[in-house]
Amino acid sequence: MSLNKRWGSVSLWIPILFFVSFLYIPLIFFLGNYFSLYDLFSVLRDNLYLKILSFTFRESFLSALITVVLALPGAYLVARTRFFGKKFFLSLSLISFITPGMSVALGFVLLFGKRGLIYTLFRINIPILYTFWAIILAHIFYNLAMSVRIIGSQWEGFSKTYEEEAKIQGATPLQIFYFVDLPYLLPAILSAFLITFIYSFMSFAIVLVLGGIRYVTLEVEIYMYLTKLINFKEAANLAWLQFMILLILSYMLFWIKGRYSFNYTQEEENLKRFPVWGYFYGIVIFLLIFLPMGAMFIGGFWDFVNHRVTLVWFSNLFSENFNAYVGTTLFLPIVNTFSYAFCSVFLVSFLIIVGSFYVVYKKRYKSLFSLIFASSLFISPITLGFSYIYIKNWIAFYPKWGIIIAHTLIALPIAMQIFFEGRESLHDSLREAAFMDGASLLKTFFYIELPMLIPYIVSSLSISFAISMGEVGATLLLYDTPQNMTIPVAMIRLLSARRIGEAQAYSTLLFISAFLLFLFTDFFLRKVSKSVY
Amino acid sequence: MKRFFKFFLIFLFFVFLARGAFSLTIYSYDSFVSYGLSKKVIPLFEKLYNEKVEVRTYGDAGSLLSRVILEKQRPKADIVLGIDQNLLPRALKEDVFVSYKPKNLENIKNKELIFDSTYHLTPYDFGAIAIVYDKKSLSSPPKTFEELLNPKFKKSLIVEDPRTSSTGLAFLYWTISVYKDEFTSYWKRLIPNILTITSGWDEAFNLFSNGEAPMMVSYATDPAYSYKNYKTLKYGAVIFKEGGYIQIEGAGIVKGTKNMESAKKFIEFMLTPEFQKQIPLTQWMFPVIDVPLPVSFKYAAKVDKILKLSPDLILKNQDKWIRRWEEIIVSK
Repeated sequence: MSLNKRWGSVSLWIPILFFVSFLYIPLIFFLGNYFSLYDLFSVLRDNLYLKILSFTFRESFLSALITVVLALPGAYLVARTRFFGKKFFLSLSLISFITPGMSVALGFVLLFGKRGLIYTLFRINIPILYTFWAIILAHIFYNLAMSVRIIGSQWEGFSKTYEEEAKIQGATPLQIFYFVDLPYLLPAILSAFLITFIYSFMSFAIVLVLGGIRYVTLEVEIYMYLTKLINFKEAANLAWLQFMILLILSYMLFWIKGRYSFNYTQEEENLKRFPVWGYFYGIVIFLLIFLPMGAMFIGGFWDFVNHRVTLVWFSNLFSENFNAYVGTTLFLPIVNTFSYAFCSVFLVSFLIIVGSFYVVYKKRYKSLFSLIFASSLFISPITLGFSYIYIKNWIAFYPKWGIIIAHTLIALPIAMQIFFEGRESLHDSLREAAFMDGASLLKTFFYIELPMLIPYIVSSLSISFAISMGEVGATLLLYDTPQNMTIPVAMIRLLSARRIGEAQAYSTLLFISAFLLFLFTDFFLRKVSKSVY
Repeated sequence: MKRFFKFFLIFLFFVFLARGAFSLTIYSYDSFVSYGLSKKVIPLFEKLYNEKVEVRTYGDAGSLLSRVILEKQRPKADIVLGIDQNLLPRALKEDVFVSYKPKNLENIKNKELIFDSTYHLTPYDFGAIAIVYDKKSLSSPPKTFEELLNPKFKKSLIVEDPRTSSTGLAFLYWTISVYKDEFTSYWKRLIPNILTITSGWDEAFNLFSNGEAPMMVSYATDPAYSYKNYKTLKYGAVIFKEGGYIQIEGAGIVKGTKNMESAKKFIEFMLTPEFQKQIPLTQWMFPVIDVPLPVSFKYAAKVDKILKLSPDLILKNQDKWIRRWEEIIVSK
């Protein structure tokens, strides 16, 4: 055991070292250079910033709350019932996650706009654009699928015997949910809430474009100081403020989570019939996720000048001109996007497996450890990108490595949340039994625990993949030459070349390739998991 | 599985291969490449002067300058192309360029275009902000800033956010150059006629072309562009009678360059007709020296009266202006 323990603590330090060298040091160098404590307090006394902050809070809280409430029935349906096309649904729903905020905003306009899809089809105008609720709706679109995944994986791992026992004792379904499922699901619910909250807190294009005139987040201010007014001092102050707020909030949630952790064992699948209310839920999901997605998909075939369907954008995409607009061939960004995503998923899986390996035995440090893993979400990818540029004054690295590491950092918090949750839900007695039979820590981990964690691994790796594929903020700053470009960056280049149709066609292409990939990984990984059992 | 892994490693090796050597590195914004100017002039420059040029582009002009400032300790660029007069004061303050007065500066007839009297930046093109409108849904567009306030244009204008978009910032400066210190009261009255404030030009154009609103803040040459590219004359552009706000773009030699001679050659080359005649149909801006303009440019809106803000005024006030603007918007 002693050798095991030593390796165990080494394994704890690997991810910490990763965060220190690739997140904290660049940030401290960059932001620390321009930051002063006095200015931070003056920011807090500033009326304008307080107004912006209070809006940012309100908007993020509502987005997170509604998303999580809406995700609960979905998680139940995914975890507990049989329905036709479940894999198809799960793969498709992840795509909302890889679409850049700007495309989401434009998709909503394509759907709800004055000459949008709904108006064209039904001749009714839904006056939701340019209001507060348009922002909330877009944030729900963005995060709902992820929340369903996080809560759903947890639900899948929860033994049905408890629900059945409660039922025998005469509990109503609602009572079962409230007293049996909810306490067990609470950690996952809080995770989903936190991640949605942070994403909405950082939201940018969605808030500006869809919210009309008055709404703005703190992140917009940071972006302005970094790229428009070039006032790094003010940017550093606001970025620290943002970091501290999200840090404190996350710590609070982790603390609550820590008090509610239960563990149960998991068992064979035995799914129920799809309930009637599921169809109504399906309609809601269709309206919230698949309709906007459909609008974005159609974007590639839509001639916005003459308002009709066209294939001209696609044929332009495959023509010689593409190279002129973007500075590289059509396929290189596709190859790059996938290779960056593969590399960062590889790093993510290495770090979460190594990081989670020993932490279950060190319960006292769990909250702190979770906090470190979540901390790359407390600053925006744009700030991270700028700090990498700054650090390049002293340390040279290939832009590609910068992109991969940034993607890894951005994906890690969510991947970790899902995987740790899974690991926690395994009963301690399982491990103890394995030790009793003479298995080492490592053996227990690889032969007993990992195979049981396959659903969590599938979820966390596919979400990481999606995050890497859709990432723009950091990639845009780090890609350096067109040869390093990704699909979303190429899209933005096309947009800035006023090639809106081609950009939409390219995003349709991204949709299709991502969808096929998710379908494939889901199928592949579940097959592997069957063979392990 | 093993074979797949091997293939993957070999693939990675090729992906991460290093690149070759160059005699001049130019930093610019994305549209230098994506609009096509780079492709037209760089090979020509390489051939004429036997140089090997590397072009790297970084988003918009603001992100570009941010990067150059952050790289100050170890500059990687020799030339930075695309800094306009709104960013000039910040560039001078951070001292990232060296002063160089090119001989070809005498080719510029309109001396008003030489926007940097310290010669750190050399102008190569200019354009004007304009209100672009859809002729089908708007037969008589406003002609002055005051006419834009007419209630019949309620929620009819799409504006870019000055906090995130250089087009939006230029529009804010346009109102300031007309209304001076009273610009806030103008904006207060303008708000009812604004549909939304978008994060960038792209989103604004997307909303505009999807018929969300009949007017947007854009550039004087837009009608020329859509005539040339979409064969349509459905969009018109107006510059208000109060005068047009001019955006002049320049390039400078980066302090600490190791390729000074090549850099000087490039700055001179910028002011020759070979370079300048490519500007209209790629940058969709006006050249700074007299070269014949293409046919489509007859649809561009003309600037009769030039409005400018002095670099000192901008440097001293820009944070304050934006803040005052924000206070109106947030507490709408």
